[in-house]
Amino acid sequence: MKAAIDGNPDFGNLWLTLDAGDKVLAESGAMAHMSADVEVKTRLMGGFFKALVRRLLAGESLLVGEYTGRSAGSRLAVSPALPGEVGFRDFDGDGYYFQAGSFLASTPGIALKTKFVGLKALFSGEGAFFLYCTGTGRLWYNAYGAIVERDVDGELFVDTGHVVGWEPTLTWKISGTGNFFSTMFSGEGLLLHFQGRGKVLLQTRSVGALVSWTKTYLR
Amino acid sequence: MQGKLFGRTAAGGESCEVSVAGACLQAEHEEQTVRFPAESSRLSIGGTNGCMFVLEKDGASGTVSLYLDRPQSRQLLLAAGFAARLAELESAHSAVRARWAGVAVLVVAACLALAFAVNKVADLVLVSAVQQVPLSWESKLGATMMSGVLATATEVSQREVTAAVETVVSRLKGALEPPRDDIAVHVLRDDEVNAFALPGGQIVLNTALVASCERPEELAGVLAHEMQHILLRHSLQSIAEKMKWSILLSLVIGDFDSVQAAILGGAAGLARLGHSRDMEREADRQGLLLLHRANIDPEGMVDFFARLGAANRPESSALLSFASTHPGDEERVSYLQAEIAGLGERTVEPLAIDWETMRRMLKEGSS
Repeated sequence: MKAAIDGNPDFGNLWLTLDAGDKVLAESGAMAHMSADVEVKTRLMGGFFKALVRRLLAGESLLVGEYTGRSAGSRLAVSPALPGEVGFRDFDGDGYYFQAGSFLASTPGIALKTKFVGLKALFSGEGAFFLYCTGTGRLWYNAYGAIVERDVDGELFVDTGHVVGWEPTLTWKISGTGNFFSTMFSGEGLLLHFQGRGKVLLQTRSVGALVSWTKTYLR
Repeated sequence: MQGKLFGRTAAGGESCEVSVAGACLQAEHEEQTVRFPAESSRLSIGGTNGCMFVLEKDGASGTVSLYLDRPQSRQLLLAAGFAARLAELESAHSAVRARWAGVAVLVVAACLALAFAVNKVADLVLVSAVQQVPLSWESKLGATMMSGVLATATEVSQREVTAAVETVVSRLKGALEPPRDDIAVHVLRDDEVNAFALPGGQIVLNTALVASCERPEELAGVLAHEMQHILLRHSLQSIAEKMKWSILLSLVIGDFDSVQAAILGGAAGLARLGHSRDMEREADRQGLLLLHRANIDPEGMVDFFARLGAANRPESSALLSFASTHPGDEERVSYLQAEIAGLGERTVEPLAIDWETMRRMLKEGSS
């Protein structure tokens, strides 16, 4: 399998060239175009029950597309819904947390588990479920805006809308901005407070911010 | 096993191979070794959702940390001499978990208590709301439903039958306080032993039920019971009860279209009204009092229900539908008898009806 990303950082797009028998999982609905020799199946992500719970509680898609190349040189293009950068991470038996909407595609060696990370996450605005990815292979993710990687050594506060993913070595909790009053009225709302050591992937734009900005024009 | 080492270089975490070396845990990365002696290293639980053990020690260029996946690395830590610290950490961690579990239980209990309270309040509101519905509405509803019933049924017109039923009805009506003149009884030709009351004063008796009564006092017992359903407005209460849960649920979900649907659905369900056991019992008790006031032998009611119970054994079927919505037969007979024992002395006046002739007429009419 060959993979190429173009259009970054504004309109990232993933191009895959599959050999016969190569498989790739991609976010449901993200396939932009493909050659006729790519076989498509739809699968439930993370098992039926978990997928259902995710659908009900987190409102996220139940399904991923499974694309299989039937001859050498089968081509597939995967495009995220949001404008922004596409990145990838290689897994070698380690794990990584992603915000569920960040998943774009992955090779079959990567297990995608939906992890309930506690009720506190309900207040994060990102849903109570995150995607925990483990295994070996490559995973492509997408962001709104550009992707920035930050090393945390100690603490980092991140607006909930700017998180793409993080290393499981990091602890996180939800915190306000200062006291109750400033949390409610500063416009910053709630923050993810990371502690420990490890990497955090951030996006330079937040969908929530776009939505509230757009609302001012809808009156 | 694999671990992640931080702080040795500025470039963030490095994957490393972790093993036991005496009373140390050692991490190897690119032929360099970092040792974490059990004596001097700090062990804590960290990572997302506490999924990792964190080992730290202070080096020349700052703190060096080793992150290990929690369940897998436990044996390694035990072997390297971290047993005491591990026990301490795990008990503290499970205490925190237990505290959160306690909070969760409290939250669930509070939700249940709230649901219970809402249910009670809703019941009170419904009972008073039902009392506010004007009788004329109820009669109109009953009349509409009755015309629906009559559309598919044949009303018995034999004089002997209607006159016999009327004799029983008028004796009972005479004992009603305050009097009600809007109660009408219809005898319909039907092989199912059944009787029911519609809102506003319509009572339907099936011919099979009338024929199964061995004396007029038994029919009086059934009629007294059904009349109480009307007087106590049980139909409206049942409708309200049926709508309650769907309305409450819709309000919780915030879906007001389904509130509307529930009200319409409740009205549509009118045709298949069943009353709650409490309502049946109340109708039994009040019915007995009515029989008593009308000087009718209350044993008739007991006899009828006792026979209903006897017939309501597995092999029987005809009496089953009437019995299905009614209290357990033995229980019912015993509380009825207890009620009768509590009634004051009263001279019983027999109902002057040629019952056997009427039953014969019913049978002839059905053939």
